[in-house]
Amino acid sequence: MKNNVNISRRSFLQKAGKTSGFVVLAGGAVQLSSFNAWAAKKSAIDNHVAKTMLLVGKDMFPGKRFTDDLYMIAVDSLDGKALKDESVKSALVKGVAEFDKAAGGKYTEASIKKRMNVLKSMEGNNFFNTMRGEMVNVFFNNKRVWDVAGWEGAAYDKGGYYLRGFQDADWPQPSEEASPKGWWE
Amino acid sequence: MAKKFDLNDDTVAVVIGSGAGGGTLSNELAQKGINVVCLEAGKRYTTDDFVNDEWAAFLQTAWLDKRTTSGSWRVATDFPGLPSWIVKSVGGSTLHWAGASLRFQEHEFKVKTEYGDIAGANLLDWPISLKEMEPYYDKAEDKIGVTRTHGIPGLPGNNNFKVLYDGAQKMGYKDCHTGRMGINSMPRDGRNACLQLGFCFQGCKSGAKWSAGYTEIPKAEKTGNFELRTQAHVIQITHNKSGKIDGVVYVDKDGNQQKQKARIVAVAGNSIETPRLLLMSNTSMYPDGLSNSAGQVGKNYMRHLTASVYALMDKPVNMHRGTTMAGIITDESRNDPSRGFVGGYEMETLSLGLPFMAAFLVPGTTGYGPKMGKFLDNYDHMAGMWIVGEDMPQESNRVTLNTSEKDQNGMPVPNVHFDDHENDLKMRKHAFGKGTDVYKAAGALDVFETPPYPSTHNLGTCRMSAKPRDGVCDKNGKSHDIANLFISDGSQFTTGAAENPTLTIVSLAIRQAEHIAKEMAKGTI
Ligand SMILES: Cc1cc2nc3c(=O)[nH]c(=O)nc-3n(C[C@H](O)[C@H](O)[C@H](O)COP(=O)(O)OP(=O)(O)OC[C@H]3O[C@@H](n4cnc5c(N)ncnc54)[C@H](O)[C@@H]3O)c2cc1C
Ligand code: SF4
Repeated sequence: MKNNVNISRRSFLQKAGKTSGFVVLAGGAVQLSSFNAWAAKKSAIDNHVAKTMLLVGKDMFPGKRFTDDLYMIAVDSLDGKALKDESVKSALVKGVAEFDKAAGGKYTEASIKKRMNVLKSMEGNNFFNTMRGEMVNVFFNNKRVWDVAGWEGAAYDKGGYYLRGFQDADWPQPSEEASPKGWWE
Repeated sequence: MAKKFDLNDDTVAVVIGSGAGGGTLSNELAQKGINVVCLEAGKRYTTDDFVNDEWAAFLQTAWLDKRTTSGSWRVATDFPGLPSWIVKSVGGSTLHWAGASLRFQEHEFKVKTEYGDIAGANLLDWPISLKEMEPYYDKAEDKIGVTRTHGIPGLPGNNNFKVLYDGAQKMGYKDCHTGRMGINSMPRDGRNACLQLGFCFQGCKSGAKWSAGYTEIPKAEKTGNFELRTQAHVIQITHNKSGKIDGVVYVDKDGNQQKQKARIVAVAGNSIETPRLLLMSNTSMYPDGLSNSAGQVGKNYMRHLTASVYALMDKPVNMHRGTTMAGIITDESRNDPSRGFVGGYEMETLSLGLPFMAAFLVPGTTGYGPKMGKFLDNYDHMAGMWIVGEDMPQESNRVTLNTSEKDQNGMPVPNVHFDDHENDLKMRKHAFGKGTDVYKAAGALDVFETPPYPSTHNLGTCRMSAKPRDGVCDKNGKSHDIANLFISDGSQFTTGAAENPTLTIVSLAIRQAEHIAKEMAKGTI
């Protein structure tokens, strides 16, 4: 598989300072091209662990519009927890080792087919659950991810959607009986 | 104005819970001059407190007390500690409800007669007919302000509805429209019109959606006959030597136990807490719990056959803009056994925001992979519907006390056991097929058949029955065993019907208030 890492260096640099504390080496399925911005921040886990976590998150929820710096949201969040709690850190290290073992080498260097088999065999495993949980609860609860996927978040401050495209989808307009005009019309 | 009653005042009617059932009953009784104390476990929130944020809103108001699950239903695997999505707050689950307000069909009040004997199903006719319910449905629709009733226009359909409607037309469905909704399509009853915010499940900040918390409760307070006590969690209903109810014990906001005396007690804690409370109130006189001489308390738990179909369309939809539930196809709600199952189902548009979509599209450990990634990555191209169908009551589907686990008050937690009935499985399969066809007809590239969420429609655990041996309460919700004990929420449902339950819960509460007022005037209770 050829991994499309369409992260613009500038957008990455802007965000990296805030989001990431460690160096992920270029190459393989994960290619991040900047190190300096990260080096400044303290991090609990090493590059290999971080890189594997990033790829696991990405393999779980691959999306063309999701860039690697977005997937770092989940990695970073777990890193933050690992900094505060040694047991989180050791669980992450252990989990990555299990994934590597199941991949018969390094997870990050395995083929996509192999990696999907590893994921399947790991369903319910601790590290699997941690990564999936972080993706669901942190990654998909992040505004930068919403922006990319097209969920617009809070609407009340903007006055709702009644004047902002709640009927703009390109499908035929239903009959007026089925869908009457709005109170403002 | 808001009143205060003494703990020793034994003339008051105590209502437990302030949601669809309890909030409505409280107000209806107070309007008739009856003194009411409503005890609500949750806090009081105003529309200003609601937040347009899925997880934050859920954590703010959902009922998160410890619960356990068992049985083969998938919810027990995917959400073992969260069998249901219920709200703990003034207004109860009407804070988060979507507003769909449909009457039951005539045959759905007499399914035993209509469907016959179905193996494994504990079917029973309601002791009440559609005809008897009609005047109360009418009052409830007026109270809630249901669109397409009482001259109230339907709501304008949003993007999600446009897709559904297009599919419905191409499938040849005849009855597809923006539904009968408890949402103001124009200002009414002192509340705003809908701004199409799309956060109906998080509490409607514009107040356009009916919720007992900001309609029934303040109206009751205005009568001067009503006191609401918040963070008052009832843990026991007590009785006197003759077996009549004489009060309740609750834990107040400081963790202290209080005893409120009562002339009558009406229980409306939603269909898990209501039977739990009856079971927890056992004494030497009622060793199996209150109103349980027939052994029916907690049994026949129903949750509607639910499922969702989410489609990835070929063009942007932006389904999240506008009402969460924006329209309906009713064509499949008929009883037509030639489809291989009895009963029917409704198809209603449903939208979740990206945070909830990630959690619910495919819940549990299998919820990942390229297809799921593609859907979430293209969230703006998604459309979705929820399927609500009649599920079969089964004795073995039940709420029991799990005595090995305790809640924050040291009380045994409820366990919710559920297995799908064969009829449920057949209906779900049929509904998945039709839902998929609708979206394929409208241009879907791919679909997900999404399994049930934690139950939002919890029904039937203290059911009404003509004969005492078949249920827990009579056609007025009055306990078969104890004359001054009432069941006032969805747990009264004899069977579930295909329609969303709240309009029926509210109608029954209005009807029950009439009955209670009459009996009180006669001095029989
Ligand atoms: C997300 C969502 C969407 C929904 N959409 C729809 C819809 O479109 N149409 C529809 O018809 N229905 C819908 N429903 C269902 C609807 O909300 C419920 O059917 C209805 O609110 C149930 O009424 P109830 O009185 O039984 O319980 P609730 O409204 O849940 O009220 C019960 C109240 O009792 C309180 N309580 C419980 N135990 C105790 C105790 N021991 N002491 C004190 N207080 C207690 C609770 O805190 C709660 O406030 C939806 C529900 C949810 C969660
Ligand atoms: S869409 Fe309408 S009903 Fe729903 S939250 Fe918004 S204003 Fe309220």
